[in-house]
Amino acid sequence: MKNKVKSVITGALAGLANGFFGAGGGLFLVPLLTRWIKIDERKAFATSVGIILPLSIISAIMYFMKGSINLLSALPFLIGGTVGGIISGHLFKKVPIHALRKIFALLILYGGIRALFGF
Amino acid sequence: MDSSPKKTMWWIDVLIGTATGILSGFGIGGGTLLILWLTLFAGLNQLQAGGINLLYFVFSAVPALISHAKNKLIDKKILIFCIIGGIPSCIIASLIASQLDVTWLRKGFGVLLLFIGIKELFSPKQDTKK
Repeated sequence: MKNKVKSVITGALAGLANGFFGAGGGLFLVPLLTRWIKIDERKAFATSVGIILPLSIISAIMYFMKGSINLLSALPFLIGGTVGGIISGHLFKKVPIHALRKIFALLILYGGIRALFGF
Repeated sequence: MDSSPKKTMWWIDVLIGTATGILSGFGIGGGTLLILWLTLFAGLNQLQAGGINLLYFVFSAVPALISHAKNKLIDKKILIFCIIGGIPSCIIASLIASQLDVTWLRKGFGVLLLFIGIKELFSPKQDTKK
């Protein structure tokens, strides 16, 4: 299969997670970009941020129109997120990405179990 | 509408946002962790948490992307085709999400997390040839 076709499918999966759950697009993207489309790991992470950005803008508009976003509750996270994003861009080249992925895996397993069994 | 009160203090939320924002900029799932914070500790439901996360992501992604682009780490061709695939599916999914029972939304998210968590945990180090 051509990379263009693979990319469209990969993007569609990320869009589904993004729209359904309001998160998790990157969870599909990075594994598929590295193992299926076979681009460099660090590029896969950086590119995934660029893919999720327009999808998040669209989903955010849809959520907002349905009344699912409370701007006052969101504000502290918008401030923190902006600061985090700036730091992130500067640190990215030096970070041990693979180690972070393992820590991340453990955290989402914990979250998955709690979300699924509801305690 | 957002009815349930948030149970965390604003300055803690700023710190959490900063920490997850760093991870979001890396593309490593900061948003997923933020959702977990909002649903497990702040008492929001999946739809409310998802809404905050989507908006937050826009704010953290822009400054990170500027750096990534400067560092030439964006694969433009892959980027464009993924976005082409992603736009229709995220519109459809977010329309459906607002109609679904939030309990099922949360369980679906749980299944996704378990599946990806297990795959990531046992993934080999970089297997690309280039």
